[in-house]
Amino acid sequence: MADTQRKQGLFHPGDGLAAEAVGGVRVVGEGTGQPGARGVSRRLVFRWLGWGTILGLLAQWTLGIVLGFFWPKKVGAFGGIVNVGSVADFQVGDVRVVREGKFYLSRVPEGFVALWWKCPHLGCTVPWKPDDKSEDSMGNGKGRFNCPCHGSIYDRYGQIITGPAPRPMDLFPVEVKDGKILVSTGPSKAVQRAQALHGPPHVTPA
Amino acid sequence: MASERPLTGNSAPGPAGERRQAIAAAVRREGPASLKEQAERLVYTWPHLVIIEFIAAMLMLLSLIVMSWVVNAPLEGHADADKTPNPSKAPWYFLNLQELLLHMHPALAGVIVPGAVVFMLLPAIPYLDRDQRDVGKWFGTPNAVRIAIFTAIFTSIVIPIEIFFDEFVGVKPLLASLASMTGLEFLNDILFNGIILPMILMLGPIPVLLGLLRLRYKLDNVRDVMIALFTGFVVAYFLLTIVGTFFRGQGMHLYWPTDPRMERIE
Repeated sequence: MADTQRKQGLFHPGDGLAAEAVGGVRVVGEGTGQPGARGVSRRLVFRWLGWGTILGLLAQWTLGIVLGFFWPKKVGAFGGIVNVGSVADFQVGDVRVVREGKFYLSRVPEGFVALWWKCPHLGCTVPWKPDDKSEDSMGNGKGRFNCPCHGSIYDRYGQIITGPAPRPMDLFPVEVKDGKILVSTGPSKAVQRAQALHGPPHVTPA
Repeated sequence: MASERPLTGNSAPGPAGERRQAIAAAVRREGPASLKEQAERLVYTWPHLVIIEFIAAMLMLLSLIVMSWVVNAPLEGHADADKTPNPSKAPWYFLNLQELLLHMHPALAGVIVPGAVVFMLLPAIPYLDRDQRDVGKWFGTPNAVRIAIFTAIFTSIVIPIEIFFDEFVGVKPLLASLASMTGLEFLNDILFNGIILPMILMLGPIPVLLGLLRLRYKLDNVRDVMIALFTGFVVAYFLLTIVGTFFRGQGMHLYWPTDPRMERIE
């Protein structure tokens, strides 16, 4: 018995089996204090380890594939500073789509706002509807943003008027330098706003 | 095993039902079925049922193959992340959920409501309604059909009213003007106008419905309540699907199905 106890452990394969063959009972690992008590055999431990490793690898592999679908794909050449043009080109109420920067530049009385065209609700691209009823006092009563997926409506400030969006459209920082309008784009640059905030400090003066 | 029960008929199980069966058997001068008779009447799942199911599956597969030959799937151009088609609609069977998404916070419409319905409310019905009488019988209570019809009419009135209200008045604009009038800023908070108020508007009609049903039909057992709630759910589900499919056009606004603005712009 003493001999069996001494040789037990991970580095003595076969000893447990030998004991099993001799005594007809399985030998428990160290620590139970009861040599010869029935319990988990070494073979079972290794079997579990083996299958566990295989299952673990399979699970890791599957999870990796599944989670991969949730990771957004990197989107093209968008993320730098975009030059929109000269301040003089815009009149109050103008909204211009800037495709390379994925935003709308909106000229409001207080200055400029650059609105990322991604809907803060579930991410659809929000189109500018120049002929729809206006939600602000600009544009002779015409023009607003209207998301085609769930119907959120925004005014020229990007403020949510109606619909399910949880916050106004996100902003890109605008800088006016020597009469040129420079907009920093990219998801990391987007500024999220709380509910119901108009005018400064979110508007860059012209 | 011990006593055989008829597969159909409305005799209630339990001691009373068994006594009734025993009396009926005595009247017909039948003894309880012997083991041999039982064995003769016994039909096994395999092969009898499984063969039928297999044939049904094969027919379904065959009809799908034929349909895929005849009807072409609408293949569209490359998706363009810069331009979302207007309106962008889910497949028709999800338009009920998309209709919910138009009116409240996305977590509530897309996760909490469907999750509560599918994983909590529907599975809870058999635990709440533990009445053993007329189990498996459709409209098993005396007033069931009337309750279902009343609930269907009630739901068909309430849901369009709520949809029209959000489309033409709007929860957010109304609350925004209320907030500017009263100075209560929390009315503009998404927690209130996107979650709390929509939940009140969704759950509020339920006690009203149950109160009306109680006045009209007594509503003295759980089964009646469950019939009312389940009817309300089914009718709401189909109404939302129909509105989403046939009445939502460009910008996800309400239009008649014949309106040119129902057309999708790519």
